[in-house]
Amino acid sequence: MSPVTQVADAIIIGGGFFGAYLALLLKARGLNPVILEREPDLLLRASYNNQARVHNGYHYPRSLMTAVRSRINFPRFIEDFPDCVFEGFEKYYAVGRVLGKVTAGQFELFMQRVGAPLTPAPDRVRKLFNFHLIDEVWTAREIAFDAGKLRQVMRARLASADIPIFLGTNADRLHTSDDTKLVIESSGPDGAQLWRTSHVFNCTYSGLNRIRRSSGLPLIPLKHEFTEMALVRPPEALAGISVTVMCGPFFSLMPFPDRGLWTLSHVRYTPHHSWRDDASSPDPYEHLERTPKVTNGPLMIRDAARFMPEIANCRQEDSLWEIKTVLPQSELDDGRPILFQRDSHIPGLISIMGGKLDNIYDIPQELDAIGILS
Amino acid sequence: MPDRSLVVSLVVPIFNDADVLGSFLKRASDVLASSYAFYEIILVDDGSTDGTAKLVGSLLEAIPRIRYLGLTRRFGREIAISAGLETSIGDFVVVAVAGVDPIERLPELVRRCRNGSGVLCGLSTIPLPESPFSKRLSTLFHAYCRKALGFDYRENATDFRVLSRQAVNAITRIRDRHRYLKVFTVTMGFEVDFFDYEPSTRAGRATFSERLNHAIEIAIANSRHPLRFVSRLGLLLSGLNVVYAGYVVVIYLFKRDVAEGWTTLSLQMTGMFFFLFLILAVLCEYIGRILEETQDRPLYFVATEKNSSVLLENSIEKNILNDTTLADREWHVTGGG
Repeated sequence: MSPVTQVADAIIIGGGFFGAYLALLLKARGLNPVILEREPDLLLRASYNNQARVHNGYHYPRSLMTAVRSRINFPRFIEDFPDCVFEGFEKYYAVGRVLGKVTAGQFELFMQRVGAPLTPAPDRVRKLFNFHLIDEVWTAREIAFDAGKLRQVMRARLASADIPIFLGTNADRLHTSDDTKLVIESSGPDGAQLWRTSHVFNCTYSGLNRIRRSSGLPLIPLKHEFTEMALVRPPEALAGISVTVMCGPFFSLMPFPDRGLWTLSHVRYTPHHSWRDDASSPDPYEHLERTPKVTNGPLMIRDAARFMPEIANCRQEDSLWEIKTVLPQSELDDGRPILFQRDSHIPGLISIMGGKLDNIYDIPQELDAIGILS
Repeated sequence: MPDRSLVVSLVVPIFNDADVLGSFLKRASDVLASSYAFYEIILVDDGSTDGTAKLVGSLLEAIPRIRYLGLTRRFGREIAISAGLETSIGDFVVVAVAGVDPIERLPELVRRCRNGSGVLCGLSTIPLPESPFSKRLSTLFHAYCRKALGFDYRENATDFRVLSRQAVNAITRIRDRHRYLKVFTVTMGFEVDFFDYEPSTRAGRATFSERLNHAIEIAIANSRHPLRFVSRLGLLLSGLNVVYAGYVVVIYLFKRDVAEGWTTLSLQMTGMFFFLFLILAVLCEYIGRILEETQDRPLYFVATEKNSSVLLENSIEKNILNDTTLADREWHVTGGG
């Protein structure tokens, strides 16, 4: 029995934050999109397993444009998701002495230029740092988001916009039909299905090449990293203190509200290994599942404790494991740009990959550019 | 079963060691991986010129958990080890020289250090060929260190050692430009254990004049004893001088023909000037030291840090790419603030 063919204005593969938000944008522009999500719920992968940081420019002391852009998107995110914002912590940025790529002076000057608030940290916080290795410490304004609440909000918004979501459903293959429409074969709890549509948005982040590989399309050059962030419980002395040390092989301690813990990530120990996506490389999700998870947590804690001795008293309770995907260009220009690529063979197929949540506010202009107007 | 309770760092200073590095790291990696769940190998390249950097590139892909620190130029082994100690994260840090020190003994030594005082230093069992005269001087100097300067600087001490985190933290606080880690480790105040071992080769010792320089610097950097000694000598001579002056006065009062005092006068003059200048020389040593320390420049400059097969996190950029093929990098930037 051949599967039933269903029709949709647009198919969104991947119900992460980008896919879900894009569905709302398309709906507002008069299209009726459908979301196909492989996992049992929305926002389970990279949208959840990350630092939960809403960037406010501090992270990019070497890229003026990115910093400015983050400064613009920061208030938009807060306005857009007031219930998901988590502000119950103090944020400190520090600049390391050895191996750092910026100096304290450069960092200060840069943040002044982009208008990011930066004031010297109070003495009780300065005392926590080892100034043999740290150049300077400042108080900054940055927030975290609650990934669990963000999932609830997105679920509610999609429901009220009446957007169908097929969970546990994998988009297996894609091809064009005679009338230039796109056809997607999917499999899930409802069995095999066929979808006829004019637009397919591939928002699968690490899985961007899965359907391309199975459909015989050329692969997008991607680099995957097998990453770990330690979930720790900080000691009393660090209660409510979030720290990011810039800009080299340093670390960041951020709240992770959904688990009531903190993430400790380290530029040297968070990426365990990496590979380029090519014909012979493993499927990123399968690789993540198969690979034994040997934590680097003790290494992260020990290195961070050199800069901030109290971190030695952090208790590691768990780890967040995820595949992080970057575009090869970012290795050259030290950025993590987002991808919005219209396929050269199949114009209706659009591949989207976001580096951080607030990049979503750059998407509407791109929709304008491809003729999906509001 | 690898030990999960502690992190061990191995610091290997390298200088033109391309011939022995590969096999040494392989052995070190095997030993560490079988004994510890968490470890790191820190290579500090002290400005090698024999293609070591290129070799390290391939070793980083083959051997896990290596961190490579390339110093910009040759700073000397002591500074290279200092750079390694400073960047190390281990609860115990082992310093070993590639191709020389028996790395297989590492787990046993770390255990000893853990159960002991926290500082464990290697002593070579291979005697060095040297002349009886320099051997005698060397023994005298080490005895002088022990008796007068108050630290046990062993004659056959090598760079092979194990330090606890506490000892490493203490050493990295010392910012002296003249670094003799062998001396620091025994002067910091920690109790020191020693172990004997046989290095596979031992590089020929420095020349006599280099060793003399080292001896002078060690004596001056670690104690005010030499200064104290010459200042006492100066006092003594001044005292003698007063006595001599009294003698001259007495002669003047009781002798008739004192016109010819030329010999004694010039003797006194030369004597005084000799000791005056000796004292000045010692003072100059100290003043020179003070000058260098007050300059407060960084001890070393690190040119690169590379890690085993993982790449450093790249910070995020906001740009939108419309194509990722490297051939035509035709991507445009949206917005732009």
